[in-house]
Amino acid sequence: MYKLFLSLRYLRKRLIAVFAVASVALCVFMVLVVISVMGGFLEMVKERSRGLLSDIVVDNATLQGFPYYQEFIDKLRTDEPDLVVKATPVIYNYAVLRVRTTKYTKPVRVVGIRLEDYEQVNDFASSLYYDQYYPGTTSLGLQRQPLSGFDSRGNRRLPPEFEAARQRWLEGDPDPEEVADYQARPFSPLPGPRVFQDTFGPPTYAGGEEEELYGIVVGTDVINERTETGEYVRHYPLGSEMLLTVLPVTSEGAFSGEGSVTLSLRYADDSRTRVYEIDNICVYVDFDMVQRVLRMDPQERIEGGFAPARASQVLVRLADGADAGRARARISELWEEFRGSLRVDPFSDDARLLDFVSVETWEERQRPFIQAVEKEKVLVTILFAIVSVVAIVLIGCIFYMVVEKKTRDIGIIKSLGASSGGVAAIFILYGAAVGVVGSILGTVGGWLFVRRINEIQDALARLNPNLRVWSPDVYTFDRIPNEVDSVEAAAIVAIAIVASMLGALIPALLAARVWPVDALRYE
Amino acid sequence: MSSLLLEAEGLHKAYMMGRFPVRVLRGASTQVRQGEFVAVMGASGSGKSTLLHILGALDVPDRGRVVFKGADLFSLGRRRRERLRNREIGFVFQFYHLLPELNVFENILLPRMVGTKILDWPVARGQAREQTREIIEQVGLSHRVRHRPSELSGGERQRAAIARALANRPTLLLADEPTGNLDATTGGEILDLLYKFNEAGQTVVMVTHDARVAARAHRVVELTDGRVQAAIRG
Repeated sequence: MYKLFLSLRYLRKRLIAVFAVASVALCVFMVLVVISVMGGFLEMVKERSRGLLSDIVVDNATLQGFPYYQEFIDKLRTDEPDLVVKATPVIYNYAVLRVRTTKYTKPVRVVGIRLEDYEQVNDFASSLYYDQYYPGTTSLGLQRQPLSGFDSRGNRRLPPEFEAARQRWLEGDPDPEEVADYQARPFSPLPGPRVFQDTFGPPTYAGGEEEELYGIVVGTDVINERTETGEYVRHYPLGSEMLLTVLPVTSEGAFSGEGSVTLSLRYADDSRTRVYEIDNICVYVDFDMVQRVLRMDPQERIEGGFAPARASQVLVRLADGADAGRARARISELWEEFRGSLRVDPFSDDARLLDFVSVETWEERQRPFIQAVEKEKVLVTILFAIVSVVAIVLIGCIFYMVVEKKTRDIGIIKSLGASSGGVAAIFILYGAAVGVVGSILGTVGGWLFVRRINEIQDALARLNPNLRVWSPDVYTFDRIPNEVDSVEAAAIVAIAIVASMLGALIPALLAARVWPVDALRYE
Repeated sequence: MSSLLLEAEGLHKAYMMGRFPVRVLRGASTQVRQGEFVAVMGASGSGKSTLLHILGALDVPDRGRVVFKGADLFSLGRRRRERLRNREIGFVFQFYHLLPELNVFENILLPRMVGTKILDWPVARGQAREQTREIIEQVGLSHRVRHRPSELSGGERQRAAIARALANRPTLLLADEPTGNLDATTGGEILDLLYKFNEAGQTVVMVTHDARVAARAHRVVELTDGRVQAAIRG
């Protein structure tokens, strides 16, 4: 009984314990904040990576793509209707983008998608900017530029489809701040000035049918400017004309003899997936249109017959709760079966393209990217854990001093019949108590800090903009992750307590060896 | 004639002082009977305190043996010896040796805590506290229970130390110059307290330089050059 009693009393009554507790608390605080922020960052990366792909990715990593993709999609639907919720083809290629009104060009990655299907296999829909305020208006099909004009009462209005969509947005579950913002300026269309082209007449669409162009969704960092606070400044109104120059590639891998093709497209929306590497380069266009332009649709062969249509990738959305690893194995199996059933000349280009096809989960596909962040997390954690070793040494020093000062007391306690083990236990328990109190303080402090990390950063940035460590114009994620994993927190607490006990161990053993008669000579 | 409580035979003990051994005890032998008040006297360095420490199993002799209640102290296992020190023997030191972080009550309760396992404490706690209160009353410190040692006078500290030594109602009380650090009046009060306990049956062995103390003891053991010269009275 005396061991616990004395260890707690030493904790309460000895000022030196405050330093030991503070050092443990600071270490726990530090490691918890680092692990939480890095872990949150990793989770964000994973979540976003998944959101951009789909559960399963089937492709052959070539610019030509692979044939018979539609037949395989049909097979997936027929053979695994419960496992596969949706499968959609995607085309990837590279191009040069120019806004018609400027001479500014930019290399881009063209992603050919069937928008409705694509939105069902991943989170692309939630990345669209205009579509969140005017749900259902974003399309990659033929379209004209919407113009905001005035109604009979002189209020600024958009064409009826947009007005109806805005109503849908208001009836949905919009962000109250944005609603307040909208209500504060009822004469201006959302989401702010310069996002629609104005006209003095009634709201309408520019030009006639000859002005109808296919839509293009542009990665937000391709054309928009990101401010220090992480907001985007849009320079081009919705429906602006964009020119996309592509180079068709044949199934042999050669560039088409006709050379480059320039497409006129309408800016239909911009997409912010929050992964800079994607938002800075990707543009999204209609699958069927770009397939034709890139000569990936069925092509008549000189020797007769047709070369089958090609796609770069098939994205598969699995049923909720399906195990991705098992599903991948099953889809791989189905692909092998499908590949075997195709009667393709084994020496043809199609056969080679088909042979390269592989099936991967989103995690396998994004592994290099995720692993890099995972390794960063481990590395930073190790670095801070090494720093935390300092705390153990510090506790060792502090306890050594305590034992030195307490030598006489140790003698007294032994003269009362306490064993050497009991004396050692007092100091080990003392260490544990320091660890418990320190880690509780550190965890609470760390938890509060992580939860309020963005507010703290905002406050610091108000004092001095240079103090903004997580700058939204540098990082794709505009907020610092602020979730604390309770399992990780518990592990940190446990390690801190064990470390504190380890720190106290050597001084405790020294205390145990104190000979009572020697100790009592101290005065 | 009361029964024999303790018997020391041919105790030898040497300490290293720097590189040289100093032989403190050179075959000291003595006996203590139940209920006796024995004064141990001798010049400084004659081995009085060492003898007391060995009699109380705080120190181990190089040679010789101590039989306590029929058992050879130094043939017992370490655990049994610690138990015996907790239950059967109480120590009072010249410099009180109270724990500064604990108040009077807690200091006096400490031997009970040392002797009780944590799981048994909830059951034993009530009785232990009650007996602690009793002993505090007997030493006249009831008004000081919540005070820390630093807030007490020398005499009060020594009373607290005596109460702590008697907390487990030991058979033998060993006191190492308990009045050595006190003025004559206070020292006299402390001695009166020890005599009072002795009259109630408590066996006391006390190291002292004070001839007046010896005069009131049942028996005086004189140590010279590490040997017991004579049992002056008894």
